[in-house]
Amino acid sequence: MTSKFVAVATAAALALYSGPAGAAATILVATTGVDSATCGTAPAPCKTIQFALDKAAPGDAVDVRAGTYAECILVAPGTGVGGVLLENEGFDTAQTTFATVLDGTGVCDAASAAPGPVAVVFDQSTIQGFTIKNGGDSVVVGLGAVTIATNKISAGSTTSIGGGIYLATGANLTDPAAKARIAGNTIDSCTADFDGGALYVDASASGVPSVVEIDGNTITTNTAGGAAGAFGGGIAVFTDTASSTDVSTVTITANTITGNTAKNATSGTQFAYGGGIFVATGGASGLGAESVTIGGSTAGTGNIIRGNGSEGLGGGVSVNLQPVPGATHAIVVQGNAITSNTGSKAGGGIHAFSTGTDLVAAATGFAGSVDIESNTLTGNHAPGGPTDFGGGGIFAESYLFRTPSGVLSFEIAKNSITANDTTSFGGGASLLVFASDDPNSDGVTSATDATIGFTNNLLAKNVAHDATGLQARGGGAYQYVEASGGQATASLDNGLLTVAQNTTDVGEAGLAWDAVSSSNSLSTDGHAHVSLTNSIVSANEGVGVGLGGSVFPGPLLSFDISYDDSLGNTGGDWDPKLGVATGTNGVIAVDPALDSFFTPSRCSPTIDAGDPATPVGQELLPNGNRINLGHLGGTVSAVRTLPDVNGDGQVDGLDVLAIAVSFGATSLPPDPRFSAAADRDLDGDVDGDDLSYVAAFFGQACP
Amino acid sequence: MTPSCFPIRVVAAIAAAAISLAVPACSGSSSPTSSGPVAHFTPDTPTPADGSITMLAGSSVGTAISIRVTVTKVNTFFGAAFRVHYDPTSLLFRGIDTSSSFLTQGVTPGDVDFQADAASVGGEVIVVATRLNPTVAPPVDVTATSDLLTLQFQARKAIAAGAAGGLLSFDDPKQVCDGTVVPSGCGSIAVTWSAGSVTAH
Repeated sequence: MTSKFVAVATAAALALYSGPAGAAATILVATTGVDSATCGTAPAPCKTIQFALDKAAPGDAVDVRAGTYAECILVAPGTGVGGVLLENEGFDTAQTTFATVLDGTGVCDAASAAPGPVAVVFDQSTIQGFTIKNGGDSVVVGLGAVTIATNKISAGSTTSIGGGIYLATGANLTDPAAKARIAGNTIDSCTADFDGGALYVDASASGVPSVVEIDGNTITTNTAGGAAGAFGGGIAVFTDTASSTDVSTVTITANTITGNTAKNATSGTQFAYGGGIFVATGGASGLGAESVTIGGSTAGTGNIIRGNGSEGLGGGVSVNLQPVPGATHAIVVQGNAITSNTGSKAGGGIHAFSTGTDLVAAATGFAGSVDIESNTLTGNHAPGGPTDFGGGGIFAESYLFRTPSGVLSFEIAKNSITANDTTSFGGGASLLVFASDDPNSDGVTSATDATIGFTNNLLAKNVAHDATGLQARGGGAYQYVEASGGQATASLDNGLLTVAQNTTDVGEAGLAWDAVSSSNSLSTDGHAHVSLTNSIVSANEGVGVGLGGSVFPGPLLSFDISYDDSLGNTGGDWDPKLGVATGTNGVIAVDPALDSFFTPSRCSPTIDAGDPATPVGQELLPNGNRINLGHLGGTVSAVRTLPDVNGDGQVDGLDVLAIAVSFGATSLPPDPRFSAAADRDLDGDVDGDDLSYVAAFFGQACP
Repeated sequence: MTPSCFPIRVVAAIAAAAISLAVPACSGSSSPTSSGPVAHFTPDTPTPADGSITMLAGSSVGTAISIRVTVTKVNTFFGAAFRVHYDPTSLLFRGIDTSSSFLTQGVTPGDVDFQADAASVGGEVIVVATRLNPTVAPPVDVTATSDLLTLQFQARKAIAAGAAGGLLSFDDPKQVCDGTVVPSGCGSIAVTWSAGSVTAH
């Protein structure tokens, strides 16, 4: 993490005017005004914004009339402690004219004698409603709990970080209840030689909680990198906490982030990460509680991340989680629409990385989690080569080094991953799990269990294809697990997937698995494990599920397959090395009857075909008390079970009669009239609810 | 332009103890009193036999025609489920009327359930008429000919006597339930089923 501004406003800059104590005042500025001791009224506005700001007391507002102001300003009250509001005259949240312009040309732009930001906004102050452009070292700098809202920010550049906006919390914060907000701005055509083409956020906390909200901004065609491999072509966020009691929270919601670029180092020595957004926890110390949420579970909180590019990894988003002992770090990427991005080496849509520190010598553990959930990933590209890891939609990598089990969670769930492509591995997703129980080869080992959970995801119409037609693998997903050392386990737990209509040149079109068991310094071997359950693998152009040529199942390379449906894959449904036999372990081979949205029909044999030991989760009643196969299984969107009480394949009057005769009967205390088949909602009695389920499906049938 | 027809579904909302009956399937241009053919129903068995479920003629107004589904001398009658096959190009199913059903006598509305669905299977009305919970609403000994419910149709066009377009029949699966619990659902009572045909001119 780079820090570029010291959060100390000089007294000389701020103490020009002592306003009268009392009610907040509004000081007016106009290009026709005159700076004077008495200026600031409508008949006699001030001429320059800085002069008016210097007159302001904490809580005052400075309103600026339309016009162009060639100033580079410090936004803070001229005296006292607190914030000031700087806005265009008549500001309202819907204003769209942006006719009040702050222009750094010739004053602080890159060509000027003193390149710098056009506006530096100090703790608890606000700047809103301006066009702000031509900053020579960022356009706007925020220091502390500032509000930067509804501005049009453009044409900024910096030889360091944050071409459009640079925000630093940390030591600039004074009010524990305050938060920094960057909202509703348009940021375009800015460049940073290092990180954060549009926006760089140093969200550190040291004694005062840091809360940063980045909401509703439109961030387009910004560029970062070149001097080094960039973090964040559009947005770069680093959280940090100086001690175990510090808290840093960042939310990135409802932004539209398009056409931004993260460049590799010109020297070729460093890769770029995150064409649209880059996020990392533990920027320096990382000792406390840190969380970053990109999107969210509430409607309207997801970001639109489209058409961004990284010359390295993570065309749309790149996240990096590295908790240290004692820390609690979490990154959530949820509910975003991530489309048409390109990660040139890997991770066209998302690149997610986590690593668990060696904890053998540490007194305390840590808690870390990465959750990538409910995103739509479509049309992303990972045009990497044979030495890259691909992942047209997602490239995820999780490493644990002598880290006790259960301290780091990595879940990828409920995502729709469709029509992405790669020229290397994993058209839809490429997942890598690595565990080592003896990373320093010192012979001191510890149980280490690294796992990625990959559940409820739809992988459809993804492509792994390269020009040679010989090396791209895993049209739906490529998964690599490696465990080093006898106490290390690396696992990939696949469950409730729908893998359909994916394509590859050779080999595995649905799921491609590689697994490695390697030795530690004690010459003991690790256990690599892959499971697949409650899933549908259908109509892929190649082998449905297969292993790399050098992979042969055994005690240290185990593959557990159960309660899946695989059919119609042109290269065969299962790699023969997996030894899967239809009819055993709940594995079936039937047409799942998917519609064009990959939802099973009401009569699909995948309904209620899941592992009886798997809870039905959120499946709505009637759910047959057994989970469905595929990506909708266990969710509220799961296809409901036809309430065919008498089992004749149709829901009609006979089913009503079956309920009628048991109506009112309970299972406890036992009633001879009670019928489990009639108790559609499984609540132990036959009542109107059961009848209503039949009524809801009355007349429907499955042949 | 012909107005859209919504699926016909008459559902008793038991929890609310409210039963919706005889919901018209369509409204608008097809008024039962409009000019056009006049419909009549002719039962196959005008005098129902003991132990039977029989269609008999009800009221008829212009093209609208009501057909009584009756039960004759069946003991321990708890409910019935059946399908009625018809030609949807000749006849339009408009709903059911249960206001005179013997099943509703002496019990509360929440103790009975009537459903009719003509939307799911073309040319078939799926019907159920039953009491609920035999310990509260016991089976009925039907000692004469009693109305179970009334089917309401409308002729779409002229139908000659004996024409296929006017034929009505009971289709499988159909069952009369005696209120006992058996593995398949409800104990059955053997009855004879007799339908009839519609003419319109």
